[in-house]
Amino acid sequence: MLKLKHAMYALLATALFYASCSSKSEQAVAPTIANEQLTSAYLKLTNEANPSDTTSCRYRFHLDNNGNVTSTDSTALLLKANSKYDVKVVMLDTTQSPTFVVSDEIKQRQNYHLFFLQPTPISSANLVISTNSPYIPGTPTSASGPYLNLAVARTDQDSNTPPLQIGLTDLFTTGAASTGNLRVVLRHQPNAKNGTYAPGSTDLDVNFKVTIQ
Amino acid sequence: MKKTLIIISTAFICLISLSASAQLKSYLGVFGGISTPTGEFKKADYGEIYHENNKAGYAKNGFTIGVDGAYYFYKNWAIAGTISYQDQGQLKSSDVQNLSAGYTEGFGVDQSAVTSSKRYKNLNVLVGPQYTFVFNKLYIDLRVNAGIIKSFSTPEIDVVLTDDDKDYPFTQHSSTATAFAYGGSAGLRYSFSKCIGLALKEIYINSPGIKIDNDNRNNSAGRLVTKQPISEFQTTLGLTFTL
Repeated sequence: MLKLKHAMYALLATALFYASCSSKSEQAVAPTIANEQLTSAYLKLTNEANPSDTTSCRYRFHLDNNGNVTSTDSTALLLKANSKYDVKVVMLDTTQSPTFVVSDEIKQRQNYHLFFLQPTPISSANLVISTNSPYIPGTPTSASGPYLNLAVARTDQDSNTPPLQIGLTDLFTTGAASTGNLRVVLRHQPNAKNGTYAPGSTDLDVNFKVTIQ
Repeated sequence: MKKTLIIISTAFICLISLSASAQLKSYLGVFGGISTPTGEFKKADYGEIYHENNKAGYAKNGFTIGVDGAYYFYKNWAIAGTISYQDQGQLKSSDVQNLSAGYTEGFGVDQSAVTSSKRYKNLNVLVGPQYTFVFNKLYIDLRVNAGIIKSFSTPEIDVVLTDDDKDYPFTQHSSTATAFAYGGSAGLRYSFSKCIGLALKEIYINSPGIKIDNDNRNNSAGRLVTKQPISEFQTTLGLTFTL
């Protein structure tokens, strides 16, 4: 009887986990930036301690002939515990030939674009919101964990006065082995960028599964 | 080249010596004419994204009226001054459309609504030395001058960027600033009598720029005018009164 109870709890937890993942994976919104279609978003990471240790993850939009998203898929991000990674966000439009690098366009339009990268689950103590924080206000926090032991910091700045962060390059700092999700949001904030999440609209909103091992 | 310079210099000296006379009589005059913007002031071009033309003035052909005078202190040499009022028009609908398209692309938004009011209106006060060549009743006045340009108004431009049904407004204000100006003129004067003459003049005026204020510009993106250069050619006709 006890075994059956444990099995029921495990089944329920698994179902909840997958339900949460599947809802996040459908957060992709109109992937158009400055009239450029966005078909793929990559995070490309290099271990600071060992530059030959690289890893990446990819989120892909499948479009029909009219440019509407028909489906999406993504790969998971595998990271080493207790490491620091230099991160580069790369976005592509593979419908063009040659492939158009949308992230280069974002770099040029850096003064009104801002990336947010939100690891979850996260404790309320670690969800620090400020003009230099890449975390998203309103993200649900967990009181007891287990948490995804990943801290994110943006490392690039735009040419506004004073300069504001962009998020095309970032620093990931991992802790102990853990699993969770990383939500990547690109905010388009025309003449409204001030370092915070609120102004503007969302150009990109995707989610990656993360495993730290 | 050296030969050409020598010939021009010799001709100029001959002209001065031929036209040199007893001290000329000072005069005052009134004039009116057309004022044509030049250079950046005339340009009606937003520019390209990342290379916006932040000095294009979208100014139009207009008119000028003013008073002019010269005080002869030694033979053909005078200290001359001009006070003139200019109107260089306002933005046309094609200008507004050009700006709207530029801001839409510059900020990567769905659309931009641009509205413009007020005109380029300013006053020039310029003083400088003048040399006059005399040929019987015909006078040729050559002048260089410097002074100020006082703006009464410049086009006020209200922009509303719209993206995802959200509005992001900002404004380029009309300016009443004052700035340094300089220029020169060449004029023909014909004396009908001892008192009255007719003056035809070509004037060039240039100012590095009057200060333009903007409201609600939060990011360094899109066309942003903070200083508007002003340059114009004026062709005027007037009456002069010998003092």
